[in-house]
Amino acid sequence: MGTARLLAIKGGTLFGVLIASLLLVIVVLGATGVSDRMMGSIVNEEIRELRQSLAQTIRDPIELERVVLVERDQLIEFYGLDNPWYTRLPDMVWRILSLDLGSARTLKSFSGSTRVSDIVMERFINTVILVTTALAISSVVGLYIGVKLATRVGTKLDRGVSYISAASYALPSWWVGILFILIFSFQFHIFPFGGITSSPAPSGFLNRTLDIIWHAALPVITLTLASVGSWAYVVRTMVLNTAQEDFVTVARSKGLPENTIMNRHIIRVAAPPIVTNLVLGLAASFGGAILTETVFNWPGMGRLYYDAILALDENVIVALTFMFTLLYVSARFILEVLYILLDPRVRY
Amino acid sequence: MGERTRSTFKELLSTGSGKAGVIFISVLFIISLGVVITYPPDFGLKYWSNPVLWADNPRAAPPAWTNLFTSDDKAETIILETSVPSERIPGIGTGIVLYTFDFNYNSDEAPTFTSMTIENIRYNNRPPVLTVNIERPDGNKIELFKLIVRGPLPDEEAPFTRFGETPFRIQFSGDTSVVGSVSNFLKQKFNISMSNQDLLLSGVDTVVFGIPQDDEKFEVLKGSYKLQVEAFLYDDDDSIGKVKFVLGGSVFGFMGTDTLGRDLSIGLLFGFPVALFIGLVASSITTVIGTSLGIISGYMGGKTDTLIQRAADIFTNIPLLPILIFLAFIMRPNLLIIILILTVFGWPGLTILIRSMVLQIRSGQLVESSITLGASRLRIMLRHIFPQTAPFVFAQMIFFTPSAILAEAALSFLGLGDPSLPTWGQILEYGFRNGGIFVGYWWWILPPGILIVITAMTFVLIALGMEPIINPRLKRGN
Amino acid sequence: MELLDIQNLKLYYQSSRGPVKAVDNISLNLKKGEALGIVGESGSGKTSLSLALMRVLPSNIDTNEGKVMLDGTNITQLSEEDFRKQIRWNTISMVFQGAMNSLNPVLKVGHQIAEPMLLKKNIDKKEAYTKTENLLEMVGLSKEVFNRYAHELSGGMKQRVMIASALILNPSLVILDEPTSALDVSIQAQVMNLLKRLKKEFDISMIFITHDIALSSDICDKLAVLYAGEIIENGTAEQMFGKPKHPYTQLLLASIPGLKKNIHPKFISGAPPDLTSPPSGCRFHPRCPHRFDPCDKKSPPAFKIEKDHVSRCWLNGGEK
Repeated sequence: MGTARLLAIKGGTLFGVLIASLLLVIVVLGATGVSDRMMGSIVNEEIRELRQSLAQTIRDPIELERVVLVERDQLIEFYGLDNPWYTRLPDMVWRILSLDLGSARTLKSFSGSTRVSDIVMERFINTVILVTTALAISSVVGLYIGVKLATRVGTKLDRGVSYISAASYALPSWWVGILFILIFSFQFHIFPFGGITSSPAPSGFLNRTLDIIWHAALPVITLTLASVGSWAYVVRTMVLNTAQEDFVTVARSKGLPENTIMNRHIIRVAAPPIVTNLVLGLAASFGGAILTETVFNWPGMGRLYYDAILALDENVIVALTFMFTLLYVSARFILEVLYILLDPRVRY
Repeated sequence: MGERTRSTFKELLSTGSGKAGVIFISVLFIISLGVVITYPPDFGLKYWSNPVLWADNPRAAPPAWTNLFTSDDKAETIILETSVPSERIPGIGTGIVLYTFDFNYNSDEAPTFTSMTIENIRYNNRPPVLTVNIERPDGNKIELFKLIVRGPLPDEEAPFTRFGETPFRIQFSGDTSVVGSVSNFLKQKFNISMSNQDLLLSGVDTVVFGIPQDDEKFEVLKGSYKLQVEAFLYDDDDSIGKVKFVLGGSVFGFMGTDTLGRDLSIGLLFGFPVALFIGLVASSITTVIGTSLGIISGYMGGKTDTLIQRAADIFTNIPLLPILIFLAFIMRPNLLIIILILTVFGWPGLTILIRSMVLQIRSGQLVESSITLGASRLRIMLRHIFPQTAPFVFAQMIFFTPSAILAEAALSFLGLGDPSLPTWGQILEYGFRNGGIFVGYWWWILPPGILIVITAMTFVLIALGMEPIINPRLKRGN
Repeated sequence: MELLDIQNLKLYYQSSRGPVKAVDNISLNLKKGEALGIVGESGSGKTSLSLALMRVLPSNIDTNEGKVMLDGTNITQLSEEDFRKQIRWNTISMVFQGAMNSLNPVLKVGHQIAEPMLLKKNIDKKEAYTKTENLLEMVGLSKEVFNRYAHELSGGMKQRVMIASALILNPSLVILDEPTSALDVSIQAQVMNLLKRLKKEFDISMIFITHDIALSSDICDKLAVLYAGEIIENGTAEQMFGKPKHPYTQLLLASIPGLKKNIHPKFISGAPPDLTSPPSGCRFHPRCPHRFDPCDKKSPPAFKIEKDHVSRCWLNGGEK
């Protein structure tokens, strides 16, 4: 099958996963009565607005109430709130997909809007910045260390890193972040306690950017440390396995320079299984990002989760769950594409 | 099977990490056992969430042993209590019962608070009157407080009891009459006027236990103090159950306290059995389900296989933490449901691995000959396929335990844990929410995390120690 | 003059039970345009010999001694870097055993063939790719195989690719290690024909390593028999196939089933020896039907039967 068809199948599967997650969310919301509550709050919001605008024209309070009540019943019928929740399934799916979830209860966006979609979307970019930076750094560093280790198998360095990578499996990265804050912010005052900018924010583009980088340092380091240990070890193992293959001996017999052999015949061939392992660690990276953002008060979607839990804001939670699933599915898709590009064997 | 377990165990102990792991887990189990035996079953709800019990502890106090490392002597909590009066001074009609506490005060700072608790007062006719005064090393005596016990109510009958179920507790530092007395004392003895507000700000105890300096500050007056309760009891039968004074320190206990005054060592100890429970139960159930489905899927093949594989595929493609957060937020589950949810997301990984192993085993000769002999499918799966996967399965179970513990800690940290069962994650959550990082409450923030890490590491060490057993190629040195 | 002169080559591996004497004091020579067959059972040290010649050795080497003269140059004394640049693939190339995994799975086949040319000679891409395509055609494959990946080729096609790949730098000597073992008989015949054609048309010298003595008779001008790390007999093809003098060689030939004969093929009892502790004296003596007194005591030297034909057997000289 051609590359296009393969991509379509992968994309379709991932999209199916997205819908399955959505359905899970909606079913749970419905079965626990929360979706009724959510829709109810959306209705109430519209009624409120309606009442305000009608109050301009209808002076008589009794008449006003009557009109509002009629509207309310109409709205309830329109949204299907008078029916059980599973009749509203397709509507809910579309609502969540388009982030049309009304207003948050108490949370506000930076610009003051209370619409859930605004709040979530403006934090989206912050999370992406954090996660991709950390992933990029840990990939590069991990790759470098992993290759270095593969050429030094059995040495103390090799064993040391294998213990560290096993240890990092037991270490909650968010607690390490807390540790860092205690040491580097509280004790030594090197880095800020959290947030994305100082207040007041410095003027000038360069200063602002430096300020952001200074704030991002600890969270990025925390996220990177969480994954780089096991990542380096995976690279090392894959490279080692590949280095023992026959075609590597053949390449060496051809008198090719050692550099070429390492890059083109070992690393390049080990790349597809390495990408597979990257995929496996992706969920953990996202989970770690949520917690790290919370610890460092980094204004991304992860921190929003924490705030929304404290504020008991269902609409925001649902929106965030969807956005994270979407982000995860997209990241996986990108990696699947990468895998197909790297490994010609799967294309046929 | 017993023989195999014994030899496995011996192999485990032969590696460095295996040895360490076994030692650690034994320690964990012993501590957990101790906790389970000595703690009340409703500890979480009745004790940990009950602020009254912690009222007499200093708030957010570092552990007592930090005093060894600081240059100045921090105030340690002093508890003075008795049920027996020190003296009875008989008198006509009225008798005076004295409860006297002599103590030395030598730290470099004044107590953070002073509180008095009176329990169980009985009287027959007239209610007793209690006066509390303190005699300082410089000879000065301050009458701090006067307690007039409430008289009999119209529908009450003698003997009358007060403060039986709910003891009377007063914190001198915050009581207006005490503030007034201390203010008077200041003016009379030292000719200093301080408004009540200023007194409250600087702390009543700094005055009671201190000598004023030129710069309007007080230096601690060290020496022997006498704290006394004079109780006027009007009948010989009248009695006071217990008198207790607490001079709050700024350090407390083995692990310090949180902002509610809760003794962290008690809470942290409780976390041991809970963490082990979460980890082992979650991983056991996950392993059982994952292995069974993996073996069935790999061996039966066909539609069953496809179905199970599709399901596993979907689950491994769902990001764990966001969905976990969502479910925990909506359902506010108790610990068992949390464990169940972790299991639901944990089985697919194992199933896929086991299935590929089974596919290899299935084409082996042992299975072939069993089929030829007419063994039933269930029998083959149980007695021929499973034992070959058993070491790997066991190792996976060990390996999954830390992730279950960490997942619960993460949920608790976000505030979604089971509130009736304090876990390390929850202690962390409370510390974090109260800004513990920003004010440096390291004794609150660090230990729960360290304990989580140690517990998780224990299982990782055991899993590492088991690796040569599962992977015999490594053992033979290839 | 000899093209290749191997003198007293030794290659021992490290192992927990002592050094594995895979190549134990081997001397061979080869003229230009000749094909030398090296025949031996598995574990006799055939592949180690080829790896030793290419100096592509694993890290657990115990001993590596000897002198190899190639076209008058002592190539054992060259530095690793010089050997890599001048000799490997330029002068000596190799077709490895089992082409299944000899090709890099993620690179196009043509690029792999052309790679040594691009990296070691300063030739532009177009010229290198053209030569590659020509080579592909020469080995009987179509030009468009250039753009294929390894997993798209059959076993026979892969083997031809390996042969083409070995010729890219016009080497003087090609070592072929079991080039047809993994192929079925009809493909085997095709590949053998190809090799014979290449040998004739381009005057390439070959070392043809195999366990199949019958196969070696198809192409080899000279034959050496390897047993337990030693050459126990070598000579021209006529000498070896016509009048073999060593019992092992005789038994090998007798074990070939014949289509036209009515005799049961013979087999050799026993198993190849452990190379960490080979038998005393003549290494074949435990399995030899003609074993007699001196065989387990002293190792027989190479007795000269006639010109170019030597045999290491006490039956051929020395005490009788």
